[in-house]
Amino acid sequence: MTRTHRAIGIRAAARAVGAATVLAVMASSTISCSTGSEQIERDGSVVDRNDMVMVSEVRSLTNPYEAAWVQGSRAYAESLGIELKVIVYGGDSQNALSQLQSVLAAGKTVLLNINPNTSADTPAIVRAVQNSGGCAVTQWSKPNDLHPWDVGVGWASYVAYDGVRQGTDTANTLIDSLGGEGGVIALQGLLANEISQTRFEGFQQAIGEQSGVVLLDDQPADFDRNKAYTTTQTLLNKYGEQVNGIWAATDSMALGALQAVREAGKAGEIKVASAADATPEGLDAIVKGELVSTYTTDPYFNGAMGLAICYQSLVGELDVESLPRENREFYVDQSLITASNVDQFLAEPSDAEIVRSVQNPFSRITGPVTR
Amino acid sequence: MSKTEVPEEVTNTAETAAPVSAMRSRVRPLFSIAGPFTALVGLYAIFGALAPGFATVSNAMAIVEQASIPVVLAMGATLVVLVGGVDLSIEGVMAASGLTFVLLAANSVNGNDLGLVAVVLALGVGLFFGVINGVLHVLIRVPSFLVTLGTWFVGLGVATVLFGTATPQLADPSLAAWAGGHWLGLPVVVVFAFAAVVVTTLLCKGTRLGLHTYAIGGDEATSRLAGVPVGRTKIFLFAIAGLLSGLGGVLATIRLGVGDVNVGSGSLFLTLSAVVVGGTLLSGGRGGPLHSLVGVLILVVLGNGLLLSGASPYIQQGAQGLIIVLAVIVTGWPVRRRLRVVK
Repeated sequence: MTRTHRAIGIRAAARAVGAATVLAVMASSTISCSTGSEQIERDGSVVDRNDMVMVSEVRSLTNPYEAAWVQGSRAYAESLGIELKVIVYGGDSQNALSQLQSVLAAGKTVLLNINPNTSADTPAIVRAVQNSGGCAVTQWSKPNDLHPWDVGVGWASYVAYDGVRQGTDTANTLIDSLGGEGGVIALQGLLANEISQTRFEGFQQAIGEQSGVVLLDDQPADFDRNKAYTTTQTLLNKYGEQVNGIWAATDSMALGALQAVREAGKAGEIKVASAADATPEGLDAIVKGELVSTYTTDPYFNGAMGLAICYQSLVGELDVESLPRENREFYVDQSLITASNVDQFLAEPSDAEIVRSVQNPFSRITGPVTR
Repeated sequence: MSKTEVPEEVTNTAETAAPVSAMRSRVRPLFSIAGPFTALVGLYAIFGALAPGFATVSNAMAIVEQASIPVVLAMGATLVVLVGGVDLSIEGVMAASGLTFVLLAANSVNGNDLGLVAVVLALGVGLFFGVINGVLHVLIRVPSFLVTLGTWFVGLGVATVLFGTATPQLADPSLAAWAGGHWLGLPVVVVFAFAAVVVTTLLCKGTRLGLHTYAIGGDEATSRLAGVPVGRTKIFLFAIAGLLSGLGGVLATIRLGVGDVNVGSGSLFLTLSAVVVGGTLLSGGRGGPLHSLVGVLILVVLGNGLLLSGASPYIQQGAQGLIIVLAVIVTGWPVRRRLRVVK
């Protein structure tokens, strides 16, 4: 490189740095507008569709529940012709927030439907959306002492699912399949996970009311199919013929347990119940009679309804401010699936059905969140 | 006076050191495997006494079966650790190979039905990842820790793309029968694990490659001067490790019956702990496949025994960590005087 070339190179670099600095300053001023103390207040004026961006934020796309959730979001966004951004944060809370912030910083009004990584993530997420003038609906978990009405219209609703009910209903199905007596093993998810705890609590309530059924052992299998498999294998060795049933907090663990049961040559003999997820594989196993139950919260509906609440509030069809508290924080209807009704859940809903189901996004409320 | 004394002392030590080190090198293999083996037998005895249902034939079979896939993985990890490297890509390679396998065999997502060829191609994916690890590490001189950290996530990424949106279920009946099936009276996974141990042990103890492996682990610079083909040996070892991770991925996928991106989750930690608990030094040069076999068995016996002993699930994890520390102490006890520097 000659001297002149080098000088040109340096000047070009300097220009680039200068331009970058200007951009950075502009960007940071935009960010300060959107997340600083000077908040954008929604004044009831209607937001144009072209200025909206829908965001569906989930942990991973390789779990059937969240894949279906995103499909629901997509169907709804397409029905309105609004751009949808799917953020997959891979179980990383920091990643979940930073990716969201970059979408917020782009300037469009954000309509967020999120399944947060942990309950502790909620405050930062909903405040970032609130301060940008967007709208958020969060699902599954939040800190107990934080409510949408404390934060503002930017956090339209919190949607939860009654884990105790899931546990009780599936435990009862298991008990019935055993004819009301026998020994059972329970597989929980992560011990520190709230939803897994509530399902197990429901399970224990149901078992407690039955004198004929004995809980032989309960172990955490961390939502992991492999761990459920090895744990079941070991427990079958320990309890042998005493085991008549196995209850697992999710499909993946139930299917892991089922594998161990098959290998022990006791498929069909030992009844296996799952308390959540209604994965395609789980449904198949119910059809085959290898699983006695699972539970669905209708992920397609969940993925679309959060966006529907936000859309209706931003176009003025819904006034979040004046909504009763039961519409800001609520449990949503869910269904127990057994051999008798599994047929209804085998087919995926069409896009039109998904959109129709969220015409009134509050139609499936079953009651206020009790915990 | 003092000036003359010092060289005398040096000469004396040098003279006495020779026979002692010769004696030590004879007893070393015995001592270093004795530690972990004692820990294993001790654990087995303790749980046998404490946990009902532990010391039974069926539980012993369950332990061996549960140890099988980790053993396959640990054999590859051991080879890499023996040259002072580390392979963190195990879980990623397992995921990529597992999904490749399930999507090429008869499955619920596409129309492929390659049968055993699917297994071979999936192992090829593992081998490819291993070669990439080795080449990047040796030729581009990136520390193995970083290369394999990268390929770990590349593997997970590849698997995620392959996964798409629907869980692929294995539909090939003859391959699905490997889960829970038996060959020569042994569960299929156990046969694979046994083969992996035999091959790796022969490779380490009976071949020039094994000799080179230990030499590089002992002192890479000197080995290079002595004409050991360091680069080629390392690439080969990484390739074998990748192949074995791929095999682990295929076996785990068959056992699950579905393609799962998280098929290997937890395997890396279990495998590397097993290698270390078994007494293979992370700095390389000492230890071997049999050490890691014992290491895996220690960890599996521990998990199984704690579960059967009826310990509260809330304390199991903590207890497991504590016992691992104790096992490492027992493992290292016979050789503690020879460890000059501990980092």
